[in-house]
Amino acid sequence: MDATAAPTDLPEGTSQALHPRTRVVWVVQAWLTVVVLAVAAAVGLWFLLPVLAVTVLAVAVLAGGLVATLWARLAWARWHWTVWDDAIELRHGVVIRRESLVPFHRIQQIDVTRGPLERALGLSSLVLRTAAATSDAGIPGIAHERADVLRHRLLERAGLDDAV
Amino acid sequence: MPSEPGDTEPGPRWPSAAESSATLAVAPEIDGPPRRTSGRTPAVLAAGAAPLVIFAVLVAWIAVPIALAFLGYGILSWRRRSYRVGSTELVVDEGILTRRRRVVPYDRVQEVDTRQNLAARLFGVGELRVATAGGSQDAKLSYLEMPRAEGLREHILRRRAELQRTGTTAPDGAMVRAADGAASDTAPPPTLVAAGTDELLALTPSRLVLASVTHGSVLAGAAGGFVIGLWAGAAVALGARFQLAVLLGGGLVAGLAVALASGTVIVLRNLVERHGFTVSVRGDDIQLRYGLLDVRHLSVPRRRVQQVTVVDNPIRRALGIVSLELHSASAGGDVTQFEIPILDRAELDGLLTAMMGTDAWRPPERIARNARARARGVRRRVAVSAILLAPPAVALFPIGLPILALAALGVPWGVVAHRRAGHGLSATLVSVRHGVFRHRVDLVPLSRVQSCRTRASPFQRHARLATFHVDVAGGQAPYLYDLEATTGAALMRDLPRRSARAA
Repeated sequence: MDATAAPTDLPEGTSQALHPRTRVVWVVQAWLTVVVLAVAAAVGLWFLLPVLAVTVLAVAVLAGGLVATLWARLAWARWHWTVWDDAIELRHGVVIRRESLVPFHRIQQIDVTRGPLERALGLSSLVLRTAAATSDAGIPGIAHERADVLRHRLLERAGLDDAV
Repeated sequence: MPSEPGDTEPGPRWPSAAESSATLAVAPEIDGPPRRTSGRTPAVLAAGAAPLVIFAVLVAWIAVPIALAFLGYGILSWRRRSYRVGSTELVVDEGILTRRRRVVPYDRVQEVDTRQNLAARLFGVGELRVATAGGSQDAKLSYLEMPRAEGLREHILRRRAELQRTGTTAPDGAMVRAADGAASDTAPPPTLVAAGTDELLALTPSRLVLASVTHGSVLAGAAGGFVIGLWAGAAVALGARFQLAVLLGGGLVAGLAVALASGTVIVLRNLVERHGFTVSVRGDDIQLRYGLLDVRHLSVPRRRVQQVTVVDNPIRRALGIVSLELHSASAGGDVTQFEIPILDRAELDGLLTAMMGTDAWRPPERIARNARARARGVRRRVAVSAILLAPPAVALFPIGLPILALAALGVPWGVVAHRRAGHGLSATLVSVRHGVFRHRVDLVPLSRVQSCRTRASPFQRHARLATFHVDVAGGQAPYLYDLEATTGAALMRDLPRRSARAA
């Protein structure tokens, strides 16, 4: 169950965590949100009382950053995916826990996406598409070397030709 | 100030630039004869009107040529368009400058529709649209005389059915193998109207009116109007006597008014848009035909139907009528939804069986949820009612407090909702049902289940409950609140896997 290795086979029947570096991505994203909101609030308050604005900024960034970091790490700890012989199962969510099961024969397409932060950290996300727009089938934190292999193997299971 | 007698005032003349910039003052003549204002006034008025006149002239100069250009383009396109009906495909040649040949193989056809707008109806013609798999634009033939359009439509649908039977790839990607390999290729020529259309349901105007006045929107409008009326009544009653009476009166009047208004709009819309609503089956297609001004003739291939929803509300339930929604989606992702506005509940099973060609669509028995789910449902509705009723009650405190007591209606509301909610499972279908004012039973064949999901808030987790979702092609995912967590998890793990075997 070593998430950092690059195995060539699908991990059968065991619950997988996301790559540990995904935590960094999520913490940074959470911090960005906190900073943007805090700056916006501070700018708004600046015209009322500059001292208050700076205080609010400092408190918001510190407190918000703490909460954001804890939240991001908790979210990572709760993210699991499991490959069974006929389906893939996902479990994630901190406050609202979500589980979903997508059978392989319903997978129509698998995309590999990488945002700028993910790219910098060598991570990718897999997005599995079915005919339903509401299917929740995406695995966010896969090491880049592993992502293409996983995609290929999953497509094989789905019986889809991977001719690109 | 010069005022020599005998001087006549010079007539109107345009001042030179130097003069008009100097500050001249001309003394008025005292007790003289009445004078008209400056003779330059008409010029000023004309100058004021000039922009409007220029605009109108410009618009005419531009608009008329544009209209003529559109007309000319349309006529040229028509002259340069030709079509040929083949035995395996339809060929359309069109284009004025760039010629384009579209070949539409019949076995790639998803849907064939005819449309008539008001102008086309006057001349007895219609537009034929052929939708194909693969996401390319519809092939359109405008305009064909209606008998010819219908004949071509029949031909395309029949040829598609025949080609699919002989083992070619069906549009949704599944291989269709012929049972015995023998293909009968005796397709009659397109000039004959094909026989074999079974009419299952035809709606008279009175049925459409009944559907309209019992429509859920009328109920929802009445409820919404009542609440808004309460809020407005509270504002009015602040300065009045008999505050409670004004409050309740406001609510009732507003509720009634909105119900009447929405009812009237729906009646008129249904009578025009759904005029002559007919459901029939031809081969493997469900055909719907309706419309007064804009006549639509749709065919939905049975295998495209992903989900069927049976909808009713308390009034319709009392009268024993329901409405039906068919959700269809193609492999290319086009999603369409069709509504059959009204039918008797007693006819439902029969109609579903006849429409879908199999009795696998019979709604399964309802399995109720547990008492914790009922408690949550009741609490939720009481809370919503209390929130909606709080502003007027608080505004007229303490007279308005009895209004807040109406929130207790959330209890019977929740109990009835619980009695009508639940899920069901048969060998071929999964069903989920919920709602009171808009009660829906979603029927999804197991072979159409794409994936399943559960989600649980902390409160739900505490009560060992979860919300269960069924993902189907077509954008809407039927769901059920507050199912037992273990049942939800079991369904989530089982149903998507069964969809492979059930196909």
